[in-house]
Amino acid sequence: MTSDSLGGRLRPPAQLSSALNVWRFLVAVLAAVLGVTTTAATSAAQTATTEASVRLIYPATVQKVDDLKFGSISGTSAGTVIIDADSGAITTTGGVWRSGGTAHAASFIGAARKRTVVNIRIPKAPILLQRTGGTETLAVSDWTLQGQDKRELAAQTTFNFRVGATLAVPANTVEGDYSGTFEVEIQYP
Amino acid sequence: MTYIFRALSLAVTTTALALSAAPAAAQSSSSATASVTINKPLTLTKKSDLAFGTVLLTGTGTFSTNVSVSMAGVRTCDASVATCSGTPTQAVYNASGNKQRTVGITAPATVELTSATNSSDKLTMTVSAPTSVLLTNSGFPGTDFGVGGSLTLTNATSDGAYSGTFNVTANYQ
Repeated sequence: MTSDSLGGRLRPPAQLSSALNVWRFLVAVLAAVLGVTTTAATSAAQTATTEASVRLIYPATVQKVDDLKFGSISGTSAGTVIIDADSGAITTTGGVWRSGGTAHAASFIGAARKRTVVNIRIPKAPILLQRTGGTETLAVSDWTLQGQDKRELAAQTTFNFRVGATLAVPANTVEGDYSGTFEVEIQYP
Repeated sequence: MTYIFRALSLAVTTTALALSAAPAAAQSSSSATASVTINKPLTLTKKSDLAFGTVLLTGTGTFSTNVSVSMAGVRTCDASVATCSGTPTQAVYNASGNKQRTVGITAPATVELTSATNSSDKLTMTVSAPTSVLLTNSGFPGTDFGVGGSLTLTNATSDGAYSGTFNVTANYQ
């Protein structure tokens, strides 16, 4: 239907409007016969997401592969959590226990350029982890290295090693997330 | 009702008028085929990610090298400038649907991988994927196919652990 500028209404010829109605009727019949519904159809194309990854390393360097994580620890009295670098095992002493989360030793990768003996240096002194949003600290000490600190290496090969330590948890430790940093060095001759 | 018949008769008249101008041998009717293919819903599941492993860049001076993992999971590494270690895996997908149907596979041409230690360090991976897969059974267990990739590394490429994600899409053809 259209209107003209004079404000009246013009109607299309009767035959045209009835023809349009016929087509609409026929389309409706066709749709009913095919069982087409008006609800949204499931998408036909299927999609899957993938991750691609690679580690690049140069000789005479060291890269961290994993951080040192003690996970979630809960307790009713003082205790310690020990991550052993050689076995990767995590044990507790005293009045604390593991209460979930992810826990593992730190691990690193290095690579020699030529056949050589390298020296892996891990921390000797304790470090302090500080509570996020607070001033309380927890001490991590008694660092352990997987295997020997002096490693004999073939040329152009990578090598991996774990680093563990002991976390001391005093009684009445304030709850929260604690973190700190430490350095590991590989001395390449 | 009269309304509709009048419209139909108008349509018929129009057709008759049109035909009267055609050559004597022209057919007055023609047949066409209507068809549809009903398929089981298609499923696509990722079974493993694409992993190149560890690449130790040993080249001295200026160099450029390609490290690739084929659609079959075979890693190619030029030993004169790079030492590859760790288990490489191609990305593996399982597609299931109707037996004997061909499923078109769409994967991006390249994917950007970003270093975990420095988000401004990037690698461009070229993807190698099949263009289609023929389903050899109906529903379970489906048909597996692989997608691989290739990286160009140079003496200027920063070290680090790089990763990126991409999507693969499957559709009945």
